[in-house]
Order: sequence, then C-alpha cells, then structure tokens
Amino acid sequence: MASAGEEIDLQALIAGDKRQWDRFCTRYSPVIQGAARRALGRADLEDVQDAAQETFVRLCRDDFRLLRQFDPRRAKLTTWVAVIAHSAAIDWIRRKRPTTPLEDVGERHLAVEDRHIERLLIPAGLLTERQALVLKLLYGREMEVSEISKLLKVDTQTIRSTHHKALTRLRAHFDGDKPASGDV
Amino acid sequence: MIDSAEKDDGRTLWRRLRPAPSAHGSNIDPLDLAAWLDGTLDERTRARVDAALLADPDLLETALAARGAIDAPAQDTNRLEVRARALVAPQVLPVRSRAGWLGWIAAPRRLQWTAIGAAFVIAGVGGFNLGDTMAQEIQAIASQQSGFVYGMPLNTDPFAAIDDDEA
Repeated sequence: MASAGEEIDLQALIAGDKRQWDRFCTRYSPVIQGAARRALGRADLEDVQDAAQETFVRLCRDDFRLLRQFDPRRAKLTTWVAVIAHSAAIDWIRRKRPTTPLEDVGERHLAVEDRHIERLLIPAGLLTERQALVLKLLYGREMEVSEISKLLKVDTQTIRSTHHKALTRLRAHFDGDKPASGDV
Repeated sequence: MIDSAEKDDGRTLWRRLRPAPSAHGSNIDPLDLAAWLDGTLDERTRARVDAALLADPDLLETALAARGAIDAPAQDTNRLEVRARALVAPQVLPVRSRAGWLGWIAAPRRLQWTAIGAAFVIAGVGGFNLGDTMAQEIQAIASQQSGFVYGMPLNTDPFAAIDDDEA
C-alpha cells in the first residue's frame, strides 16, 4: 500500500491537474477513512466519512498549501497522509463534540483522567527515551511485543532486549543503586 | 517472548514511577512523526519523537492510528472518494486553434471586437478627410467673394501697394 502511493505525480497535482487529484483520492481514501475510523471509534460510517472528508478539504485548501509542505525525502506519502488524517479527524471531533449527545461520544474521548495515570515521571537519565517508550507501550497500552516491534520498525529481539535493560535500570533505581550506564 | 513473571515485575516497577504533570501537546512535525513510523529518522530526531510520544498521549494515539490505518485500510470508501474528487474542479486548459489567423479571428467575441475597432478607424479617417475637403472648399468660396486670396507668400510686403499710391 505504501509503495503504491508514491506513483502519484505530486507536482502535477499541486499545479492543479485534476486527474492526479482523482488518482490521489482513489489511492488514499482507504487510509484516510481508516485513520478517521480509529479516531472516531464506534461512530457510524457517515460521521467517519465526514471526518475523513475534512482531511481532503485540508489538503486542497489554500491552493494545496499542506501538500506543498510534504517532503518525499523525509517520509512516505501514505504514512504522512495517515498522520494528517488522524489529526484532522481529532480536530473534527473537537469541533463537533458540543453538539454530540454524551452517550454518542466514545469512551476513549471521555476518559481524560485516565491519561494522567499513563504519564509517569521518569527521573532524568534513568531510562533512554526508547526504553521508556517500550515500557509505556507494554504496560501503559498493554501492547504485545510483536505489535511494538511492528510500530517501532525493529525486530522483536530488540524489543525484548530493550525491555530487559530498562527493567534492570528500574530495579537498580528502586533498590537505591546507581543504574548501569551505556545501555540503549 | 517475555514471560509473565517478568512482565508482572516490569509492570510493578513501571507503576512505581510517580505521575508526571500533564503535558499539553507536543511540537512534532507530522513529517517527523511519519518518518518515525517509517523508521527513517536519525537517532537524535528519533529520540526527540520518542520523548514526545511518552509525554503526549494524543501524539501516541495518532502514531498508533496511522500505523493501523496503513496496515488495515478501510474498504467501503466509494462515497468518500466521490466527495473528495468533487473538491477540485476540472482544469480549464487553453485551446490552440489550427486555423491560423482565421481561427484567431473566429475565437469567441473576437470578431465582434475586431469589427467595432475597424468601424472606429474608418469613422475617424473618413471624418478627417471630409473635414479637410470641406475646409478647402470654404477657403475657395471665400476667396472668390472677397477677391482676397487666403495665405500670403512670406516675401510679400503688405504695405507695398500703399507706398506705390503715395508715390
């Protein structure tokens, strides 16, 4: 899916080539709607598509200003579009929320207090960002090692190793010992 | 695989860390987050995004949703596709005629404007010529009636006739 997305002639699209825009819509509607679906949770298809449409509106607004910011040397177009689509859908939810009955709002979006529990203060230098992120995904999000490995684009052995080193440091910290240095 | 005893131990240790003050948003460029998901960031930027994902649950949510949408895109997208396509109107391209200058004249409204321009030119030139002819005829009539010829040679002395009479 990701590689197929790079066939769009982005320069022609930005120049106003309608055929390229149509191809873009065909190619990226599934990813954009998928990202909107994840943002909206159990909302009906009409709401999901309204939120997804917001992404397309953003992309072509002000003479494709947002699309002009995309740099193919830094990331894949598919990945960038998915990120933009989720952010646009979240903004759409925030705008719509005051008129949405409470029972229609997904539990995830109401659970503001739970997020405080997720955020933990890690003493400076105790864990690397990657070690802390692995622990957060494992214990904060209850994700499997294979899922984390896919998300972080590293093999599962690296995740296990990072986890083990992080726990060693945490044990040492709570036992009052100085954590070993040089771990990644 | 991480065994359950180690996982329980890890969870306990993780939860012994104190809650951090709430963070509001992170200043991560969507392109950096996309590159993070693609696994193409340099180590320094990757660490910065890792830290932002730790501090900002919304950003982590976006990363997870984007990954999920790429791995399992939606299927029933026909209606969205039609609506999205309608956002950009077909481009109106300039059409080049193969008919040469006749084609140029035949272009919409160009013939009317050309005719109006030509009428102005004809009226202007015709009016000027008519006025010049009339002026010459008026001069001729006036000369005949007064016996006076309009226009005098430059070397003519206007008082020569008076001088001759006195002499």
